[in-house]
Amino acid sequence: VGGVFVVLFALIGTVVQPKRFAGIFAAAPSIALASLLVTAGSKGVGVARMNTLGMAAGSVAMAVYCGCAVAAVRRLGTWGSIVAVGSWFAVAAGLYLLFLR
Amino acid sequence: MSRQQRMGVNLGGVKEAGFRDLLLRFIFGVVVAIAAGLVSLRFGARMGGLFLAFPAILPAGLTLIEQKEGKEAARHDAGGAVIGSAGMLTFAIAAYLLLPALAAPLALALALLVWIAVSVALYLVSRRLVPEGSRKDPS
Repeated sequence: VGGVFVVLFALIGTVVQPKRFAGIFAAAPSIALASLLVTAGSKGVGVARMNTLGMAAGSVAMAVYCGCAVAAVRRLGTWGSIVAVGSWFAVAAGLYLLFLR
Repeated sequence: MSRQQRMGVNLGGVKEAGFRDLLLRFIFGVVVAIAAGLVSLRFGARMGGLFLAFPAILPAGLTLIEQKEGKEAARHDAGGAVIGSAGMLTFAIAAYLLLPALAAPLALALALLVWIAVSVALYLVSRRLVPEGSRKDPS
């Protein structure tokens, strides 16, 4: 289900203009939507809510990642977007240890 | 006066997307959804939740855009993704608040509406503050 939502939002991102607006759909909660639906149904709403707490921290890390990716793509091209993933791990781990552990 | 591209829909983009690109994104989506589930089982739901906002699709998407349309387009796409990420934070908050009160599909549908509303509003503000394509444009 996660893959289907990802493709759906990717398609929306390819048809809307301009580019910055299309970029919004690259950060759509596609995987979260599918995963939370399955989790709420199979393990209960309580577990899904705990997931959303982690997701909130992950979203902040995602915003930082995007900012880093802008700079990294400018300097490194293709590899920049991959190298910048390190910033997501650093921020996500920091927020988890500070607030969610 | 700055010249901004109008907001709109170009259905020709679907043809440009290509089956291979979409398949790649589908596979990334499936892998991350499974990884989030496994992390939840092993380390708890909060840590698993982190991966619901993992930039799995973004690196692949940015790479494809950078290769096909250049660094400038990739920069704009990443700038939009910053806005989408802020919207994603509000999705998580809305889902946290709505899940105990409503049926899960309805709660998540409403949280998705919150994501869309917040993201579009932030985009419109960013467009006004920093016109896309202007020299000040940092995205």
